[in-house]
Amino acid sequence: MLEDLIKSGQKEIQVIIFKLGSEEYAVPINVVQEIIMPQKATRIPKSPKYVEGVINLRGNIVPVIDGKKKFLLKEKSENSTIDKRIMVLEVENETTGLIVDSVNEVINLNVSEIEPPPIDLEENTEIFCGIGKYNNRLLILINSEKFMAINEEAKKIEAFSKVTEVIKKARIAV
Amino acid sequence: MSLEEYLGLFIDESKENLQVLNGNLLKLEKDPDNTEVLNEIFRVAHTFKGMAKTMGFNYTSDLTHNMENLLDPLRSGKKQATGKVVDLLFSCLDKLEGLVDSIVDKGSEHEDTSVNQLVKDLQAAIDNKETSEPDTSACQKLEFNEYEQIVIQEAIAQGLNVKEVTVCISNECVLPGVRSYMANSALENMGEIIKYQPSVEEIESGIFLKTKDFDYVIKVLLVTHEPDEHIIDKLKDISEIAEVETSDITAETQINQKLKENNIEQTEEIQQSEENKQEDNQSQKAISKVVNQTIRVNAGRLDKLMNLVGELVINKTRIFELSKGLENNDLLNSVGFMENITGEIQEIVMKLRMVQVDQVFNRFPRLVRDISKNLKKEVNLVIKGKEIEIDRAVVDEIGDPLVHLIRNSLDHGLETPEERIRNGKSAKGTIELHALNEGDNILIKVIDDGKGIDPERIKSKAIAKGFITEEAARSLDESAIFDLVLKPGFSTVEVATDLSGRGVGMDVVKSKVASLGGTVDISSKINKGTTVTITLPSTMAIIQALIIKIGEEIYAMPLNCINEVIDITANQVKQIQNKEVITVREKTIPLIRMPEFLETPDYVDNPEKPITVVIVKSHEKYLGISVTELVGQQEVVIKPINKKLCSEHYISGATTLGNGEVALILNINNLV
Repeated sequence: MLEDLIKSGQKEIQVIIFKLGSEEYAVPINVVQEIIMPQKATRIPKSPKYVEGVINLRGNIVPVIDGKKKFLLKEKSENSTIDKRIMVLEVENETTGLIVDSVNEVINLNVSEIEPPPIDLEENTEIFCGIGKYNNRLLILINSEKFMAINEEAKKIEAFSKVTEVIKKARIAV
Repeated sequence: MSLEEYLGLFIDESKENLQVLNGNLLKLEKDPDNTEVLNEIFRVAHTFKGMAKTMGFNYTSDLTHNMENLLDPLRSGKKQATGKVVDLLFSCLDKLEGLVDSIVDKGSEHEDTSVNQLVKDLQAAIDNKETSEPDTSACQKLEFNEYEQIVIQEAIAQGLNVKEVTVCISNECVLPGVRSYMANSALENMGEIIKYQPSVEEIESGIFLKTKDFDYVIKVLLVTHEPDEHIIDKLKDISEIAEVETSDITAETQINQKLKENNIEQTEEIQQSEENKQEDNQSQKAISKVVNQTIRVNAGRLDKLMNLVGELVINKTRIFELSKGLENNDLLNSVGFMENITGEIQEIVMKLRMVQVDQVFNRFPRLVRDISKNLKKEVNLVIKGKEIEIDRAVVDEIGDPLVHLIRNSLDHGLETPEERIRNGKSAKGTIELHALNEGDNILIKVIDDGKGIDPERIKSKAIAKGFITEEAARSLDESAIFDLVLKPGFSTVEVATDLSGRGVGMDVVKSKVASLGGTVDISSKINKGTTVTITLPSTMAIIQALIIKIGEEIYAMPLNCINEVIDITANQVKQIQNKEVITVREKTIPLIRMPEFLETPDYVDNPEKPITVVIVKSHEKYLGISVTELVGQQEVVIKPINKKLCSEHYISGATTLGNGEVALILNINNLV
């Protein structure tokens, strides 16, 4: 993913920064269809725990997944629930809502400021673009295509939370 | 003007015309004397010719022109539509399809010398018995009705000239309609037009008179002062007008005509009036066609429309919420009205995606005809339920699997007439193609009354091919055995024919249907026949549903699965083998307690309260489902839901309710 970006010769990518717990994450803006206020979802019986349910998005039925549950982030939200949003992502022709604690800003990130994930993830690197540095902030860049899949291996999820931990420590150290 | 712009239109209309032609040729084969069918075929050939000529597709226009020549004597009864003639027309149809296909692919006709051969065949067929010239009728003089005669007489009495003007438009003209219109307006400037032949409407639909040399001829009856030369000059100023003739209509011509009319024999008169009637019928049909006509719309625009309607609905809900706070009755009324309208719009937009399954089915009569002729089998194809509507996307995909199935039935299923008679059946076999709604599924069945499939043969074949062990084969029940047929590489016919039997058919059918989210079932009885059932989910379909509450959650279930709703007390529930059952009219029915089954949160069971049980039926099996509350019945639009979310397939889709909330639709077939 990161190599593809470098190869493409693109200097900057536009990303949306959002928060899950205390960490900041970013996804390329072109996968985000829209950002909506949280709404009551209809529960789906016997679905995975992180699936909040389905919502009615202008007549389309869109599944919504809880970002923190999905990525096994245990910590509670920093902010109050007022900032909660559903980011509607369109990935591989499937629309999925992702509940996040807040959506902060849209920035242009220099591709040269993106680094590969800090720890060895073996074959699970594909879920990340890398770590983006922006004004002394560390952003975890997500490859949404691999990420939003409803059933992906638990291993990848673990890799994700590991990275989150590492970043957190790194930030505290800074 | 660029003809490119019309290419798409030409292709669409051609395809439609080819289909009409196909259908009518099949009818003609069964009923060779049906003039109505012949007229329709003639009409199609004619339209085709007109269009092809406009577009400059010479092979197509040449072919249709000769078809017309062959059809004309058939239509007037001078010739019989023998099997040979019909076969010839069929091969013309095939060639036309080929030509249109190449136009689709390349935007032009491929150079095809076989067209010339066909044209020769057609001409030979025409010359065979037909000697009279097809053009004679077209060259006739104008005839006048009573009113027109009065006008003519008065004009003559006032000293005006009445002229019959014949305008011949050059054969190379691309838009003869426009030229004839220009001629008409030129003539209008010079006097008063009493009569056009052909009529303006006919010209618009590309129908012209014909002479030996010209394809586009119009005749106009003009009352004028102008001398002949002036009229001819004026008309010749218009480009592509090749020839103009004028002749005076005098009182004498009138009398002649009257005399002639009187001399017409009665029989002929009857014939004429019959012809008129036929023409009337035709024009009436043309009108009704216009009424039923559909408009082709870009699918992308439809999707956009659907999205916009979605936005509209959301905003309507918002306005509704806002207006509630204002407590203004007038506002509430008009918002309520708006709600109804938006609801209707949404529904219509949803229905726009649905097309009749007929679109797929209508190609099969021809297919069956051709294959059965080839195989020397007699087949009666019965099509049922062609009005069932399914999603466009499914229609496009389901055609090929059905072709496979029908070929299989024809090739392997049905026996030869001799064999059938030996087995005590009628010589003519039957293949039934049947579409029907079952619950939220659409079933398409291909049923034949042929020799059926021998389960033992499948078993031994499967063992020989190493699909299963001998031991495993023994324990298989019948439906499991038939499922073996759907495995890749399985073919029970030893000799592959060019139709089927290469062992690729059935598993292709299965994978294609599976990609549409459906299933394939085979059932068969030796010497009775085979039924293959394709079950497809009707995505986007609109169904009648019962809305129920389980705990506080709202669900929908398809109404046509529901047998009845009863209230029972807790002590009516019995235990059999650790499973709960209830007895309804001496039938023992398993009971599912939905709140537990669906793990409804915060549900408190009240054992005192009677239990409401919905009895559902699927595949001839009954099941009781306990629900908390019945909410009502309503028409709902089934919307697809991410399949990965409902891994156990108890949910077949979702729908939005009036208040914008989402209700899940229970998949009864998988519960039972």
